[in-house]
Amino acid sequence: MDRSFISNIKFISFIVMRTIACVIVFDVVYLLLMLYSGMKISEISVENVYWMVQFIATFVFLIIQITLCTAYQKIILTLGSRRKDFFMAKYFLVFAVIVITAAVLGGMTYVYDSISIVKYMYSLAMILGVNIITILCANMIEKFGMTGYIIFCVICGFIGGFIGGGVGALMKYKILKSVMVPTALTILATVVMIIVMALDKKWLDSYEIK
Amino acid sequence: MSNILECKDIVKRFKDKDALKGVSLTLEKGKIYGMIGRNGAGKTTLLSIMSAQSKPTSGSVNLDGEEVWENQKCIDNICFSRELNPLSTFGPNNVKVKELLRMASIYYPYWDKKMADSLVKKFDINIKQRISKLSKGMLSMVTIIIALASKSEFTILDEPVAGLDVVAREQFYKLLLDEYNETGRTFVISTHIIEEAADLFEEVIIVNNGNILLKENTMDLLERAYHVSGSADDINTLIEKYEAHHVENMGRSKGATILFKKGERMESSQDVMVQPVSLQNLFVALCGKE
Repeated sequence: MDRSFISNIKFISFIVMRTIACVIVFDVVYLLLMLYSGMKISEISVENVYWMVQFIATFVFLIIQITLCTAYQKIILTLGSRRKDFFMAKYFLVFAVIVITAAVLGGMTYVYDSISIVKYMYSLAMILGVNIITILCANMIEKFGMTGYIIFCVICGFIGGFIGGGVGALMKYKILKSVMVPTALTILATVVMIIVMALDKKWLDSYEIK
Repeated sequence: MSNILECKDIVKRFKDKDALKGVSLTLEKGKIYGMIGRNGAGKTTLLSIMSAQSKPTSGSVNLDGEEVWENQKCIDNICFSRELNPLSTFGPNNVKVKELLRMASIYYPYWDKKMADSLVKKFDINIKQRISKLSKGMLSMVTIIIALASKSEFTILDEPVAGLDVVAREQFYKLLLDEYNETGRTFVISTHIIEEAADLFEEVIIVNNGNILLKENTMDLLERAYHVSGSADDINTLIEKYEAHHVENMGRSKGATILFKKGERMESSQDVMVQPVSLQNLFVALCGKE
């Protein structure tokens, strides 16, 4: 493997691991507080764990963190990385997370009857959708600075609200409970992600270090 | 091993401006080059293109015959240490000095950790401090540390002494010379503090308005540059004969900076005062507005 590619893997992992360490500490403290407040371990259901894995991998843990490394591209390119290697390292890690998360969630879906294939397909679509939005937002932040970051936070709030409240309201429509809709969404998200990745590469290639 | 860094017809066009207009330049291994030019002349743009951090609109940069753009073999031998920005995309640059040095050690294949540590100690830098909290001088010191510890064959420093006090500047010049004497690395230094650094430069490159005005051995250049002053008629005669710059009218007297061609000499019959000119004054004469 190319030295520069490995350097980028090391660097992005270093940046991400710092945040992961904070998240793990937060999660442990949160769990301890929940247990202290009277919650029993047996009350934690498979669905809770499924949601935690999905949530952590997608929103907090890795995908957003890795994609937001776009904000570090100036420093990385200044230190002598090739643009190609930074791009490949970033998406190598993103796809590693997507594949591992899909495998873990898929395994849970297979083992536990309480998790339906429909839920699993929606999870995949959501993971890809979050990645698409984060790629676009990362480039927006890079281009527009704090303004872009504020817009990104507003979008995150909107998504959080939609997932928290909107999804439940939408699920009353029977068609959304069939496996075809989330499968189609996953395929669409895959295609859009490929297009957005190509745009990300184009923007990276034309990026001027100032 | 790298011998020649060659720029051919480099043009760099931004939306409303041509920053570089067909620049061709050859840098040989084992020299200290000084790059001087006015603000906005195109120095940083040229250095960025030379180090494969920016792509030219047209033209090419080759290191030992291989194009440098996205070429890891070439990039490994070039270090462009830019001025650090205390602001980042997200606001204040919260990267710590030790994290930045760690990043540099990841990316530079010949990184000398021992040297980096000794320079940190020498400059008395707190490595736990964030970039946004460093003074301008400290930022320059960190830039210098990265450049020197990178051990890259071609090391480019963009205004490394900006913000440094005179003691720190002398320290830097000494460190640079020591490193050069020990390793024979090639250094390209762009600076506005010309007079101090002039003694360091084996060759000087003057960039003006997107073009290379001249590139020459510093001593040879200064040997053919003189300031002449005397009566207006005598000076006018010289101006007609030789390449004159920065002509000054002083009542009935006149002064000008003359740049002789190689091998050219002034006729001894001219009744004018002739003085050697410093690199800084020559630069002002060549690039200052008339």
